[in-house]
Amino acid sequence: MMSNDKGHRQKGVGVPRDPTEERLKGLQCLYEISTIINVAEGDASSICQRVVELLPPAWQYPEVATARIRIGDAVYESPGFCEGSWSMGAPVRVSGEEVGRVEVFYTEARPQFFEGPFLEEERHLIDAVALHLARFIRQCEVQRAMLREQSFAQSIFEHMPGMTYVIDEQGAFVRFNHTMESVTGLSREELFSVGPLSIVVEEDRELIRERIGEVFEKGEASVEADVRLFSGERRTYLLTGKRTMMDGAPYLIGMGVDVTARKQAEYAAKHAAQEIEKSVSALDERSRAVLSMLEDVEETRREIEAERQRFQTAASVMMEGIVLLDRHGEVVLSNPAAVRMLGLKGEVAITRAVLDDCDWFPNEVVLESAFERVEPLATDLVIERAPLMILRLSVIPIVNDERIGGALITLIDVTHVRELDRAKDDLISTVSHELRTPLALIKLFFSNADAGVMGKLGDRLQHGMIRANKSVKRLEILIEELLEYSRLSRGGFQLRLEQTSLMDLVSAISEVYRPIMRQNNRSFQVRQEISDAHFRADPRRLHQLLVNLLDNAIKFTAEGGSVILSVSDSPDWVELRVADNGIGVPAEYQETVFERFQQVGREYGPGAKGLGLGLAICKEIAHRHDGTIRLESEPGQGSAFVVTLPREGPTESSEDSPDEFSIA
Amino acid sequence: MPDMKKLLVIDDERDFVDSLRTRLEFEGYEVIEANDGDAGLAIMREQQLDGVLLDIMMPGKDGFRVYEEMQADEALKKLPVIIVTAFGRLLSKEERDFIGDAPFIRKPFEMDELLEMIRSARG
Repeated sequence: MMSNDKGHRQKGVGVPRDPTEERLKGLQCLYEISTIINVAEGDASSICQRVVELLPPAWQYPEVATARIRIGDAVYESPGFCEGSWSMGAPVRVSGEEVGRVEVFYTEARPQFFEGPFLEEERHLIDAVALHLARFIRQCEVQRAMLREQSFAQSIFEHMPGMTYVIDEQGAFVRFNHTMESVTGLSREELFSVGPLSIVVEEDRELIRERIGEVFEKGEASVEADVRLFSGERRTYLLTGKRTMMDGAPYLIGMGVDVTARKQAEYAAKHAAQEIEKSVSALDERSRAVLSMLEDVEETRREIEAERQRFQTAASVMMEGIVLLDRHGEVVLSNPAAVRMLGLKGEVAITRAVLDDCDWFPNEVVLESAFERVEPLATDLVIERAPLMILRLSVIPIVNDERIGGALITLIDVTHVRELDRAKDDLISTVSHELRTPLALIKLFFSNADAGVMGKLGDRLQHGMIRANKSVKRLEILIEELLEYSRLSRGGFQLRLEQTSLMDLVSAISEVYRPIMRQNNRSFQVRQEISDAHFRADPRRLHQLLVNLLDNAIKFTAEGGSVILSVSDSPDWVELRVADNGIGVPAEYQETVFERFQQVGREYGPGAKGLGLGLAICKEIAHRHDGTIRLESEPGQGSAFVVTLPREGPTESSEDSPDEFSIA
Repeated sequence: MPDMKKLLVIDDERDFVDSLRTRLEFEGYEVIEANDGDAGLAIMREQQLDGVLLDIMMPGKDGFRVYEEMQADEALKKLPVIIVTAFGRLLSKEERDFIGDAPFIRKPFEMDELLEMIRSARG
């Protein structure tokens, strides 16, 4: 293909041309090239292309000449370029380094007998073109570098994080970066027209003016001022300025940086520091307080420990067994007496397990009383082993600030006391028996005489016998009271609870007492205000109670006095009231009249002075019914004994008393 | 037997028994006395009686034992018994159960009350 292309040039090569004409062509070409390069219109590649196209016509045989320029990777070729075997070229060197090559080819074979197809002038020409190209390339590189630098600088200026500005001596903007626009929300034109002062809030403008003046005078200055953002937000900027000379005139070049965050941070840090300082001092105070509290606690602890030691010491020598439980029912303290009573050997400590395991200690009942019902408990424990032991068990719940703090258990050996009780009861029984037998004989004797067994008696004898009979009666009462007392001291009697009619009770007692009152010259009234007569009680015991109270009333009223028995009720309660207008009971005795063997004041009554057990028995009867008895009395005015009983009767029926025989 | 005619009084207090016998005879009863338990039981087995007034506290065989033997004896089981005692202490539950329903009167007593008990006693 190539040979076909070259065919038409065959005749041209090797035919000498006019040398002068050739030299002119070369000069013409060089001139054009230098013009193109110097003018440098268009980009580098179009210039190179124009240059390469100028080369073939400048050669001796332009018909068969083609040219090529390679600059780096770029290749420029003359039209119809064909790489022939005759060629000449010159390197393009920039700063001593070959960056490309200029080449000219003849597409026809070299004539054998001529000196060569290329002229000396053509060699100079191609070297000159290469030099021009090198100069051009260098020029292009410099220009590119400059542009790069410029855009880099511009880019930096525009993208400075703060507002960057140049201000002239008149205080007008010369230049500023894009940040200025975005911060203020003003356009480039607006900024140029309003000037630098307007970017800060009004109150800071004078300050800015001063500082700008200062920069031009002294070289540099800085100021913190508030800038109104386009969002309306106000932020603090640190504005700096430095004097610089450009083209012989002074300018201020500077930057504004948002320091709000820093200010806030500073403020926050300062505030935090103050807070911390406050906290530290508060903490210090608190720790001092805690320390002093700790000291107090320690002191209290020492006191408690000392108290505990004293208690322990006291407890260790006490005859009573003491066991202290904490609020979980665990034993925290016990004394040797308790250890001994529980039958433990030597130094064995009392624990909850010990109490649980003890076959006679009712720990469950104790814990229930202390922690569930939170009520004191007192009971006798009979420990049937040789020798028999009776312990009085008391449980006292310890309550602090309405919280259960534990319980104090005391065990008192009452074996001896109970033995004494028993001995006393036995004595009473014996005495009572020994008194009863002769009394029975005397009584029988009087009864026989009265019945006429001994025939008709004289008046004097009759009279004496009546008097003697009264004494017998008195003795009889004393003995009865003794027996009653014995019964009471053994833990009472059995109540036989039944639905009781208040009216029946009252009518029975008034039937008995109306004649007695009459005989004793006392007025006797019965008042009933009853809505529901029925209630649960032991009528025999209530009868006994009323007998005691009425007997009492007779005893403590003068002849002609009055006694009033009133009964009333409410849905829940029944009230029995025995009032008299007798001597009354002084205030100081009003509490003690219900105690055994208490007798107050003078008695007017007939018959016998008793043992002073009557009211104690009344109190026992009332209490056994879960009721109360109280005395209302004014000395000289009279007394009223008021018994209040629950209509439902006692909540727990009394335990069956083992050793009582009712004679009522 | 609506009324007891022949009564045995067992009591170690001779003076008391004497007075009681006087009164009971005055009231129309025939009275035989025994001063201890064994003597009383012997009489019960020998004679036809209408009732027994039995004391509890006696030397030797006491009233409880006498009562026990009577209850164990088919012939004496039906014989009415009134317990008449100056028993000082309270009776134990066992003692109460022991004498069961037997009428009981404590010395000193109202004679009218005893006479009423005798009249109403049933074997």
